[in-house]
Amino acid sequence: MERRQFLRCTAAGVGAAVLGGRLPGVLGAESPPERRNERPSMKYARLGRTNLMVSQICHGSLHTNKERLPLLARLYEGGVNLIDSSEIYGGGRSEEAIGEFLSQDNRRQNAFIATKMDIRAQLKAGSGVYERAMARAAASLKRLRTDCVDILMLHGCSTLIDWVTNEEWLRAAEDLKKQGKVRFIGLSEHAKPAEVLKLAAASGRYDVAMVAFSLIKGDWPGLGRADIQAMDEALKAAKEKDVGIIVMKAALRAEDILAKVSEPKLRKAGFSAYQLCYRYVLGVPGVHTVVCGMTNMTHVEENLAVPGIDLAARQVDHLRRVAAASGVCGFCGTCLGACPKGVAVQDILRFHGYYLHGHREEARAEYAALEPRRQANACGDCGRCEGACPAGVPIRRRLREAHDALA
Amino acid sequence: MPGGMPAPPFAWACSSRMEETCPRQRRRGHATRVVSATTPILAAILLAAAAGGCAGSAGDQLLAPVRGEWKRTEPVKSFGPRNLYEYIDGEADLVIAFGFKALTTAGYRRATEPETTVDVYEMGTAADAFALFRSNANLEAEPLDIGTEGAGAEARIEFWKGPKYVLVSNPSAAERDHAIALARELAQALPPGEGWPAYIELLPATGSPRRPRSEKFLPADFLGQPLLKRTVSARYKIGSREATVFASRSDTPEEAAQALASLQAYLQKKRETKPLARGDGGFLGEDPDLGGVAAFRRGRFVGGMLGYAAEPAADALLADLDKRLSGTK
Repeated sequence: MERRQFLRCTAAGVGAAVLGGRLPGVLGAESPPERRNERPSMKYARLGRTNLMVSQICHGSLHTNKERLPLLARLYEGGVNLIDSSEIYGGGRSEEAIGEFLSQDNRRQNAFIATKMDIRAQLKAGSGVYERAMARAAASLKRLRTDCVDILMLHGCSTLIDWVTNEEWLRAAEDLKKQGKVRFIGLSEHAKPAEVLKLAAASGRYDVAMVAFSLIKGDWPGLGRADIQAMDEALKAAKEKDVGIIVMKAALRAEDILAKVSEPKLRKAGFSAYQLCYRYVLGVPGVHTVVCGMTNMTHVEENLAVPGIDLAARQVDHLRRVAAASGVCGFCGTCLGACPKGVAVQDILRFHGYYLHGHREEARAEYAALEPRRQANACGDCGRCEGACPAGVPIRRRLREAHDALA
Repeated sequence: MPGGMPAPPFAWACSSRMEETCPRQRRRGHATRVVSATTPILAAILLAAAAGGCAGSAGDQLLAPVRGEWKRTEPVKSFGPRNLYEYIDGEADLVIAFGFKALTTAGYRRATEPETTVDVYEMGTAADAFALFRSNANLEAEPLDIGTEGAGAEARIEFWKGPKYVLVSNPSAAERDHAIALARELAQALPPGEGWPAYIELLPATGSPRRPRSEKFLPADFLGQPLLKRTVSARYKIGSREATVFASRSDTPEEAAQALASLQAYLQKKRETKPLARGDGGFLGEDPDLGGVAAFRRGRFVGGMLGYAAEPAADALLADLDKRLSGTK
């Protein structure tokens, strides 16, 4: 089977190159898309220039291990054909479990594997990049029990912005392609998805990008997850270069947002906040699939239903507006530039959030550590912050509530 | 090793936090999880972090300015469950699922060699540290005699001792022995640990040999079943093949019965199950990926075997498991 797989991988690439007159990885729309494990209940999208028809739900396997193989089986039955992993997930146990699962019943031929390699230490040090990349790819292939992965991504846990065009990494990636061990090259980016996606698209070297964005900007300081508005331009750039787009972290703060949505058409009976958030990003132009972390059958069944949720374009736009006006602070920091007094609005609302979620002592400690001139009672009540806030948060009231709770 | 340690009382040392394993559960349960006796500790850590990483926490003390021939290159940084994402991003979900409480980290350098990074995960209990180590330590790492249990891979040295799980990055191939020495130095600086988790004693220790280092603990969603919680498992060699023995603990016997019924319902979709004369509601099932499955309830435990085939050695393991579960509250 290993030999057949290898031949299949290389033959697909070489054959396409001959027929299309292009290298694998830059297949044009004229080539027929490659289809695997398609089931009527699932929807599929062409993953950019890879020409792979991937399920709109992709299995994110951070938590996957041999003790959770039934989840993979159910996803496979449900038509999921793209499984995403990383060499570092569970110290390799995720890849090991996927390898075991796909080695049965011809499944490897019916699924696409995406995995990631962590060479950030070498990139940061500026040495050993090529060697490490080649070694880690070999280790991943062994765990995955295959001679060829469909997509190999550079794993970016913070940001890859300085390394998108690192020649040693790209040389390793291209050599792995030439050796038939990798079909397509990608990267995953959490912190600066818009900037990195634009760089990746402009380089012309990447076939796929896995980027983090969701309904609203995230709340993790230092990482600055992007919202959809920030991604618009980057997604257009990616589309021009036909880069496949996988979205991660799409259900960020799902419950917070949807708890405030009262529109009956959007609170469709039986759909969870997670389902609607995943469905929402699938409606964003340029997005091909969304990666979902799942640890039990309830999650699996929910997520398998996502592509089938009838959410028309105008409803998507409406959901976007509702989210933007939900009053849920996304901690984007726009208010900071608007406040003439320099009040630490973003931090104060974040601390208040901790307080409301039960972390009272921590929240008070953090608030007390703020300079007095940046605490909520320094607010001059001018309202400029509210005018600037893209989410319509009633900031002045929230600041008063926060101060009462935290001071 | 687990099999040779003195039998502790059958107390479940693992924190109840382990019930919340996936991002969804973690988010949903976040409100109640961290508020506890740990709050003052976390607050202290946060204050220390706010003050620029001043010394004070246990992790800070471990990450002393000098450790052997290594010198710290930067102030100690601290992270809690809420902001661990800033340090390890999506992997934080996995760590938090195992009961993570705090992380302290710092860079160290030996002479002019490349810098290494030391991460100290405070897990609250030794059982949680063990559980994370066994699910996160590099799969191909060689066992090392560091801490209660250690392992060394190309990129990092790691060990657990007491409630701490420690990672030491290996900055270069030439530095590996020195990184191991640093890890050993750190382990020796830690107080004696609590030893192996009590839940391992639930696993059969007689008859067919247990595969070394195969014991694992999954806080939730064993086999993807939401009701199979706090599951300890290990692999056993039965003749020429391997089988996995497991025990899941529910909060009540009624909940355990539900968990067993849920597993049976899942297997029924694959093939008709058959009765198994063991425990309450015992059955035998078949799954294309799990192989033969034997499962039964004993009190608030669900016990069983994956890869079961009717043969004396397999039945003896189940009998041993049943006996152990029967004697455990």
